[in-house]
Amino acid sequence: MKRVLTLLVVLLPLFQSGCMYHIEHRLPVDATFGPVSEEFASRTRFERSETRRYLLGGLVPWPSLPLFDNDEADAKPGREIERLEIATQFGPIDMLLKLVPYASYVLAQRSVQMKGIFVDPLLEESIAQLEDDPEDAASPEGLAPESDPADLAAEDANPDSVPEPAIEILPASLDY
Amino acid sequence: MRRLALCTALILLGTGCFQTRYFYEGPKVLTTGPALDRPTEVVGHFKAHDRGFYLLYGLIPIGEPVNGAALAAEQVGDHDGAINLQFSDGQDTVDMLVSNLACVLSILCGTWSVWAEGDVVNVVGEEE
Repeated sequence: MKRVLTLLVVLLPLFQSGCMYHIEHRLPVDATFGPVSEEFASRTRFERSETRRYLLGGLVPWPSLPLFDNDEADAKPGREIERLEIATQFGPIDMLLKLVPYASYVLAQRSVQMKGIFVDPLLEESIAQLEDDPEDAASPEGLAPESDPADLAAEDANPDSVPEPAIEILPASLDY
Repeated sequence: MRRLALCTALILLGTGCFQTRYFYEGPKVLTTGPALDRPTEVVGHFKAHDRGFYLLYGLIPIGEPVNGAALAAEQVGDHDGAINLQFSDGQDTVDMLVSNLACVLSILCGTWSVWAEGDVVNVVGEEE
């Protein structure tokens, strides 16, 4: 029995794509890593998590929806994503499945966490208002005051101090 | 009882086993989009692969943590950025053989791979 299982583990990947626990990150168009743009925009932080499931010890991926829904709220006109961060790992439940003897040959899973900032273009009136208001005009690098990248970086350092988003609240995790 | 304790410890410690990340804080512009907000010229296409080595069920990464976005930035080199980025991760045949056979079902050690693909671009004009 052990020999058969070992052979199965060795041979199946060769017949498949040669990959276990494969995750292809289907990201939305205009998701950016790295520097934050210095334009007037409304910025909303988001954080999502999802579980990817597999059969046969991670060889056969179970069909799942992408983390971003390109047909609904995520597909707002002009919406971009900045400072995207993704982490894939085995979480506690995933580890439990791996540790139960032979359980992972039936079902295995891996967690994906994603966070970043949704950037939506401001309406022309809002930009004009920001430009007319001297206090707002003095805000660093011409950003909308509530969305200064420096503040966002400070929030990263101290997540407890994160204020409620002024513009829009999105679900922390999508149901799949 | 001992097995239960070991399982519990591994589960508690196991958050983040074989972790791969996609994170970048440098000066290059890395985007999944087909263009930047400035005129650019494509100078090349890349498909890069990086492999991370871990100890104890993937709990302890050895060396630099595997990072797909940093891998893409490495490919950009002296150029300005990368567009049309695509990322994936998992265990290829080599990882699988190392982790499941040489490392005894990943208990002792294991490897994990990250792939990044995209086009390297240079900015050739002012912002549109």
